[in-house]
Amino acid sequence: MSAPLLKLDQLRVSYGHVEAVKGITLEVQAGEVVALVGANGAGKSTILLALSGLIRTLSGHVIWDGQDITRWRPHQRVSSGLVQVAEGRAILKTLTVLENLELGAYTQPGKPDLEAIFHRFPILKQRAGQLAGNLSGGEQQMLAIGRALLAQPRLLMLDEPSMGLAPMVVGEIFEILREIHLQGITILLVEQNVRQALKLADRAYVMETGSMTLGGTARELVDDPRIIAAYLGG
Amino acid sequence: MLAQQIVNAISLGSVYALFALGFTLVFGILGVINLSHGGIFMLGAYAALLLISKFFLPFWIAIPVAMIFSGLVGLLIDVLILRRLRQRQASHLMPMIATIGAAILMTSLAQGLFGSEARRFPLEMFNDENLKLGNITIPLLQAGITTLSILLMLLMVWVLKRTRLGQALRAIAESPRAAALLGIPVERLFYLTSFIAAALGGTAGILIGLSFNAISPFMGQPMLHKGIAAIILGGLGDVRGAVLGGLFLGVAEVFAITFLSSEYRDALSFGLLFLMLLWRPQGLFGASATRSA
Ligand SMILES: Nc1ncnc2c1ncn2[C@@H]1O[C@H](COP(=O)(O)OP(=O)(O)O)[C@@H](O)[C@H]1O
Ligand SMILES: [Mg+2]
Repeated sequence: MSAPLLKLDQLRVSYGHVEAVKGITLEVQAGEVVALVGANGAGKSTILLALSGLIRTLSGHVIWDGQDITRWRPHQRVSSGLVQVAEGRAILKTLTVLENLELGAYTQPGKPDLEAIFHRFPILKQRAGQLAGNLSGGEQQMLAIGRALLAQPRLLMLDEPSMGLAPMVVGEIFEILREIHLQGITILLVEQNVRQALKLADRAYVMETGSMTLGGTARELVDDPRIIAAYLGG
Repeated sequence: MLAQQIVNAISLGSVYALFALGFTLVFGILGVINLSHGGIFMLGAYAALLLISKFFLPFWIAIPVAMIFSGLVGLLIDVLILRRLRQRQASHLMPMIATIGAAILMTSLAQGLFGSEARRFPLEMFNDENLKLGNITIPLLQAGITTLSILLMLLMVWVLKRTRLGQALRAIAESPRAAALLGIPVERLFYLTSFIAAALGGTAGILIGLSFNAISPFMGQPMLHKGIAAIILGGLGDVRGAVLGGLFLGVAEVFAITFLSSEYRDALSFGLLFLMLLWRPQGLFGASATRSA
């Protein structure tokens, strides 16, 4: 196997005295879709925030494309193609849809290719001049994804993109993720919707209270009795 | 008579607005109330005075240099104090107390260096001609002061509304975290904001020093109170609000002096502030004081 695009090596993160991530090791190969699943409070978002450089790690390393980026600043990570759609979408509600998109390309030189995004998400074109706070949940998620794509991600991390969305919209979002993947973007997906996540993913990791408990190909995990009992309601 | 007072009010108000604009930028973008803004205002005035009366620089060089100097003082306060408190995710109270300390330090420093007496610009250097518009007389100096304040404010509004930098700053104002996820160098733009805000504050100091022709180590404190009043009137963190709040204070003061007496100046403006807070606790433009982390 070639060197992974992203590797977490014994990563530990704590909030004060509470250790939220207790030595996690994880790999993502270029071209893969990797899912990270687990119950609420397991530490999934904490891992993604640490990967984006928004919280400091206690110990361990983040190796990105062969480089140790553990101490890089958030904007350096985004510039290098490590891009996140955060939990709750992190839409700038007081800015317009267009401004949100333009800021997505903040790290990119030259004019952003908005037409490609508008082609994929026609609703964003219709709403370009409106405040992003007025969009529906599903539209906000599309804006968040479109905005992240404008940063030219090599690895797109998504934190619970289906959260709070109607089932039909969830299907739409996963369809979009599938297309993005086919376009050649590697994906690290955090999801509570394990069934959908395992359908999309090549491999998956399962977390419980800060530790990795299970890992394997999505195909194996779908049939794993522990997964079925805990997450697939079987 | 009335027209003359309106001109004076706009002139004074525009400088207050400039001061309040810097103050509100820091609050809106860094989420911090920087109580050393009055100290920076005072140091800016002394810097210009020193450059003009000791180094004999012409004022059109002295003023920009003093502006940059003020900006650097603000940057220094950010790097030495505010940055550390940010890193520790200190409560809102800590930066307020720390910047009060910085303000006291600046006042003592100015007292030690320049004495407690008020100092004056050698105003002979300015053209003392007047502009006449009908029966309104505007001294050229006053016209220049007002024009510079208004131009600087328009420039800031343009930057915030129309440029990429302004977009990024507004993104940080809403959520530093969301901004960081977009690849905006948040920490760097905090420094820049502190610099710009302090440069505006220092400029206000120079302009007030020129228009009253008096500079003292203690001029910062009353100005800080006016700045606080202006940004609360306008709505905390809101740029339009700060500008209107500043103008409003200028108008209130000039009219208090004209129609009541100068002793009632502050009583009237702060009385109005009190009424405003009863009517609209969030200020003219304030949505609410919440923002995500
Ligand atoms: N800002 C924070 N301060 C303190 N504890 C936190 C903070 N954020 C998350 N935690 C705690 O860290 C643990 C992991 O949280 P999180 O990473 O959000 O889990 P997940 O995304 O898997 O639901 C939880 O116990 C949570 O309560
Ligand atoms: Mg989470």
